Amino acid sequence: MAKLLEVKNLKTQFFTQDGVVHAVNGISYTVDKGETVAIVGESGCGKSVGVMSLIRLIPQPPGKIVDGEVWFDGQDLLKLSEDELRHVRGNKIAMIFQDPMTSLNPVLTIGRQITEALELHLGMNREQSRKRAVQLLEMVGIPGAESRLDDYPHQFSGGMRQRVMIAMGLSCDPQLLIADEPTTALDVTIQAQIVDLVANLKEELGMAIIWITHDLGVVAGMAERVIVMYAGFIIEEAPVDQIYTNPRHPYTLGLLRSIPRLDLGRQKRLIPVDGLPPDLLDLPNQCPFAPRCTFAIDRCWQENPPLEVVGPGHTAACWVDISDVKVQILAEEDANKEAA
Amino acid sequence: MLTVFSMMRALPGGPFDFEGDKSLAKAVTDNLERRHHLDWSESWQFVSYVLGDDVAGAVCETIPSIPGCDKVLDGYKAGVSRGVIRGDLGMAMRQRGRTINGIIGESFPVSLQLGLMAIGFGLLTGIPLGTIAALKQNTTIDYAASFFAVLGLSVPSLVLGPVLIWIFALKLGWFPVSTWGAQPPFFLGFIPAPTKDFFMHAALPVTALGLALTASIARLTRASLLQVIGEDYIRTARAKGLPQSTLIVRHALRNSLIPVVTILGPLTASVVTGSFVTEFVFGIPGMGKHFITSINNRDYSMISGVTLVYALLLVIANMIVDIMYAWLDPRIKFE
Ligand SMILES: Nc1ncnc2c1ncn2[C@@H]1O[C@H](COP(=O)(O)OP(=O)(O)O)[C@@H](O)[C@H]1O
Ligand SMILES: [Mg+2]
Repeated sequence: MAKLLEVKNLKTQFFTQDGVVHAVNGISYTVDKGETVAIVGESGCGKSVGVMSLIRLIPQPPGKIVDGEVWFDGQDLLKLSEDELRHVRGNKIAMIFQDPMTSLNPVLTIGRQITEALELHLGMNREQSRKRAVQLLEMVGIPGAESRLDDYPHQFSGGMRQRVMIAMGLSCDPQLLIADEPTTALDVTIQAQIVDLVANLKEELGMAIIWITHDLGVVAGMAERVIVMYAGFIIEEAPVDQIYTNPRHPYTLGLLRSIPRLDLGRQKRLIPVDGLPPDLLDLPNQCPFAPRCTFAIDRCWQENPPLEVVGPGHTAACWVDISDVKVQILAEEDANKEAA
Repeated sequence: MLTVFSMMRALPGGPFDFEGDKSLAKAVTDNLERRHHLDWSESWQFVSYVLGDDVAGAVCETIPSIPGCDKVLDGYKAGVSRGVIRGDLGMAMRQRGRTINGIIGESFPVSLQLGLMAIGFGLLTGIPLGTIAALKQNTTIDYAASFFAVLGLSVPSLVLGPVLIWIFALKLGWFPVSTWGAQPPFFLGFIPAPTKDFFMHAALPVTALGLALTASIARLTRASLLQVIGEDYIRTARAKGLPQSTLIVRHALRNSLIPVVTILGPLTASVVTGSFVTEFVFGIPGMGKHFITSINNRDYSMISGVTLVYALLLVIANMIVDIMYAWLDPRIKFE
C-alpha cells in the first residue's frame, strides 16, 4: 500500500530549568493511506509529543525538534515554513485531543469553531461553511445539529464535545487524523460510542488514523498495526493480532496483562507493570525498561537494544527472546524466588 | 447614606462658622441655619432630606408629640427640601440661592467626560501594551513595558499632573495649562462637541488620570494573555492551521480580557478618587472640586448630594461591568 506518512528518527526535547527532557528519542514509523495505527504506552512516554512534533505543535521554547524527518505528501514537514505548514494543519492532517472540556474555546460558538477551518482551507463563505458544519455535526451524531450550531461548548456534555472535536477534525476531509487519547477523559460507555463512531467514519471517509491510547484494550477492534512506546522510544511494532498473541517485548507483555479480562479468575486480573517509568532528564545507555523487567540480563544494563525484525511486519527492541519457553520458565522462577 | 449624613455632622464646625473678620452676626447665622433646618434634631433633618419638608411637617402635624416636632412645626413651611426620593438634593448652603441639582447638573458632565476618557485611555493603551508585552515575552519590549507599568502605578496623579503641566504646558507650550474646553449644553447630557479646543484641554488631565489605569490594565492583560496562550483550546486552534493573528485576536484576546473586565469595577472607583486630585490640579470645574471644597466648607447638602451621585455612578459602573462580563464570557449567563 502507498505510504502516506514516513517518520524518520524523530527526536524532540524540552530544554527546561531542570535540564533536558528527552521526550522523544529517535522514533521511525510509517502510516499507509487509509490505515489505522495505534500508538500505545503509559502516560508520559512521549506519545503526545511524538505526534504533535509531526505538525510542529509543541510549544517552542521550551520544546525543540532536534532531529528527524517527517515525510508527508512528498515533502518534509519539518522543513516547511510556518505558513506552508499551516496549509497542512487542519487541512490534510487534523488532530483531536484528549480533553474535550478544555480543548474547545469557551467563548466561541461551536459553529464558529467548525466554520473557521472551512473558510480558511476550503475558501467557503459563511453560508456554505455553516451548511457544511451542520452536515458534519449530523455525521458525528449530534441531535438537532442545525439548532446547536450557535451553542457554546459548555452547553454540551463531555461525549458530545468530543463529537464536536471530531467533526472539527474531519471538516476539511483530512488524509490523516491524529486522535490523541480521545476517549481517556470520558466515561466507559461513552468511550465505546466514540470508538465506534470513529471506526464507522473511517469506513465511510477512508482517511488514515493514528490513534493514541494508554489502554491496549481499546486498540483491538480498530487498529491494523500497533506501535508500543516506552520512555520516548518505540520498543515494539507489530500487526494487531501479533501484539496480542505473540508480544516480543516484556513491556508489551506487561501492558497486555494489565487489561482487565473477564475470562480469567479474579486474582489473575489486572497485573500492572511494577515500578515507575524512567526519568527522561537522564537516560543512561541501557534498556530503559531494564529496572522494571523480570527478564533483564546483564546486557540490558550495558546497552540499549535497537529495534530488530522478529517476524513479518514485527519489530521489537529487546535482547531477550521472550517467546522462548525456556526464558519464560527462568523468569517465572526468578519472580517466585523474589516473592519468597 | 445615613452614615455620611451623620458622620459629616459629627465633624467639628458648621457651614456658617467663620473666623475672624469674616464672621457673621449671630442673628444672620441663626437665620441661615434655620433656613437649612440646622436647628432641627438630626433625625428630623434626615427625614426632611430624604422625604421632604412637607412629609416631615405632615407627620408632626398629625402626631406633634414626637420629640423634636416643635422645631419642625416651626420651620417646615419655609422649607426648601422636596426630598431626595423626589430627585431634589436640596439647596447649597454656601452658594447662595443655588440648588445642588443645578451645581451637579453643571459639573457632573465635566467629571464624567474626564473619567470616561481616562478609562478609555487606559483601555486603549493598556490592552495593546499588555498584548505586545505578552507576545514579545522576555524581550526588551516586554521589559520596557513592565518598567513603564511599575512607573505608572507608583507615581501618584498628584505628582504626575504637575509634572505633565510643567513639561507639556509650561516648557513646550503644546497644551493649555488648566481649565476645561467644553461647556454645556452637551449632547445626551454629557457628550461634548469634539472640538480641537476640547481635546487640547483634555489631553493632560486625561493622561494624568489614565496612566495608572494603563499600567494596571497592561499588567493584567499581559499575565492573562500568557496564561490563555498556554490553554488547550489555543493548541486546538493552532492545529486548525489558523494564522498567528487570528489565533491572538479571535481565540486568545477575548478570553484574556475576562479578568481585565473584572478589575474595571475597582478601577472606576480609583478613577473617581483620582479625579478629585486631577480636577483640583488642573482647575477643572468638575464635581470633584465641589466635593473637596464642600467638605472644607461643611456644606452638608452638597456633600450628601455629591456622595450620592458618586455612589450611584459606581453602582452603574459595576452594572456595566457585569454586562460586559456576561457578553465576553457566555458561560456566565447560564451558570
Ligand atoms: N511543555 C513541556 N515542558 C517540559 N516537558 C514536557 C512538556 N511537554 C511534555 N513534556 C515531557 O515530555 C514527556 C512526554 O510527554 P507526553 O508526550 O505528553 O506523554 P504522553 O505519552 O502521556 O502523551 C513527559 O515526560 C513530559 O513531562
Ligand atoms: Mg498525552
